[in-house]
Amino acid sequence: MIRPVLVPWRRGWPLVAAVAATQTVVLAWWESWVGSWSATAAALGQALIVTGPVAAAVAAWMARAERSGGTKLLRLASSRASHVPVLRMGYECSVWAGSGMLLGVAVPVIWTARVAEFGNPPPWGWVPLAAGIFGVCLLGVSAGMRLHPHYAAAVAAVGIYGATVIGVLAGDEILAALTPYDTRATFFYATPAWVYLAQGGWFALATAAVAGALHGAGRTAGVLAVAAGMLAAPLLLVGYNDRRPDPAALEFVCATGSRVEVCMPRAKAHMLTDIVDTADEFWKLADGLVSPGARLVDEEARGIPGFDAAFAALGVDTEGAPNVPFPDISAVTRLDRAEFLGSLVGAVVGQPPAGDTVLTIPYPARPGDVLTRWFYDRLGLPLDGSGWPGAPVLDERVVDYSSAADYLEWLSDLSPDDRQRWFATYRDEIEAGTIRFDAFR
Amino acid sequence: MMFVAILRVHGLDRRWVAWSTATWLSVYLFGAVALPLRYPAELRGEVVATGLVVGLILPAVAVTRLLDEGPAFQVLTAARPMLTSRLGWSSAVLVGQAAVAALVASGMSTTPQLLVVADALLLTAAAALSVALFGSSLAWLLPLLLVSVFTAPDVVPWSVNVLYRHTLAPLTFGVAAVLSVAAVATYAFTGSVGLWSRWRGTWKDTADPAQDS
Repeated sequence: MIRPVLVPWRRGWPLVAAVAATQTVVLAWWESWVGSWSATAAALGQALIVTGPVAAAVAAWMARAERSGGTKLLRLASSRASHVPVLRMGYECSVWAGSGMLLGVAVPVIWTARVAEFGNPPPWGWVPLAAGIFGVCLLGVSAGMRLHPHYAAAVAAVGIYGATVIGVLAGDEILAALTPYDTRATFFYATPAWVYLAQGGWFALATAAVAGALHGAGRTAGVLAVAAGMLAAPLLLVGYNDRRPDPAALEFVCATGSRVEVCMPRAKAHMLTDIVDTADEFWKLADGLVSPGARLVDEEARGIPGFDAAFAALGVDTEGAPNVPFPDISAVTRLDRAEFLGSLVGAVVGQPPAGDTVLTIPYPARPGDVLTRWFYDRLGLPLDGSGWPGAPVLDERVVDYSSAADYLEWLSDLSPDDRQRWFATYRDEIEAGTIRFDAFR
Repeated sequence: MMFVAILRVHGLDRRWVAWSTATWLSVYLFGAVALPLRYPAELRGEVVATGLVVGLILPAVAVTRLLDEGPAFQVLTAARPMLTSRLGWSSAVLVGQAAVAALVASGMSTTPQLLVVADALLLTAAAALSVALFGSSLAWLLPLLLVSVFTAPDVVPWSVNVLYRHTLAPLTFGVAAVLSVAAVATYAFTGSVGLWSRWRGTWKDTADPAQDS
């Protein structure tokens, strides 16, 4: 017996798959987009790298199951063109998967809307996402109709992943603008609306052309292919330059804490309060090694057109510049306290110059190790390298502190004033890494 | 002739050989494309290319075509118990796949061959388990799920990302072995109809072999 054409319980699967895939991908690395609209838009585009293949696989499986039901009969007996039932299935799947993506997108958008202090959601940013979902569903349905049921879903998913990754990888070259995936840092850029529209348009038309060609609508497919090519042409022309720096995003915003002033580009201004508090915490502890009243300037946007003007407007006086560089936060929109503080400690406590002696592990603690350990203990940073990716390992497995226990105790027992004086006296040696244990008294 | 007929029932014909060869060849191509997974692991050469792991889904799914047993109504009304033959056949398929994976991996000089073999076995076992649980047309489900979860950055803790990290290859083999045992055991009981299909009765959807070309 042939079941009704569309088996109801299957319909919702593309929605479930799209919600799950989008949420999983986007929320797993929320630290790198929350609070920045351009980064949030880019993250949603990148979610398509996983959502696309997953939706295509489900579409292929659905198409196959429906084909065993009645789509084939509908196609054979259709009084309309025989590709109409196929397109209809593609539409249905893309509506479900698109609704799933919409649900998946809602969480990051709401989250960023609550945190962001600069910018607006890109008004046309949803077009390539919708077109992407429509396109992969259509390709998935086509694969399900044409290929053996055992292979169809896997081929659709893997093929779409391969094609998109090649598009992303070739992103250095002319293909960059053809996909909505942007793996570059996007905080200080804005994408023009026409790029979003052309991306969505060319992808939807191109996949419709492929589906048409596979299902007996050759002439229509030809027209669609030409139209897709015409939309793709301007994207190929702009290539890597499909976005432009946003001067407003590069303007500096400053905030003053009790001991230090921090200046950051406006695009990341939502991190300012956290950074000022964390920097103040360090400045208080390292008093003597760092000068009070210093100004920390985030220069991650250096090299982007418009940065120099914004930097000049800041009026930085390099004479009294602090001896610590601004920690690298270029990939994140959320402050990682441990990494930030670890980077500051690394800047004020220098490593000893490489000598001829080869250290066997565990090696006896050197003066710099004692100082670093003291900072880590006081700031609550882990010594076992688990604090952040690339954190130094300074626990007993690597450093033997037993010979230096007295020095560590002496340092811990100092009053804040004595410590400030001691730090100020030996500041240059500590920074150069040439301080000796003789000084610990 | 009898033996050939049995292979045919399981879908092992010239077409399958062509498919399978094509999927293994495509793995070489996919090995050339990769997305950044976790900085700076790529720079240190600690991970395999994302394209390679995703590409391995294809041979994994292709080989589980051999676990097909023909029309569901015939399997469900079989006169003889199929437990032993299923145990033997599914084990042979997994071992054979590992052997082919080793052969293919030996041709990849720049990638860690051990991890490629382990990944191939793990994904094949996942596909076989998928067949046993959900039926033949959903063989792709578990491999795709596994690869999606392990490929999306930071979903799985980096310390246990068994699909991508070179140093974890022994652990990958362990996981693959556990999955293989689970797949063979489940398949021995359910066959290619699948546990879910039996329970829901959905195998009737494809009951007409004439439509199943």
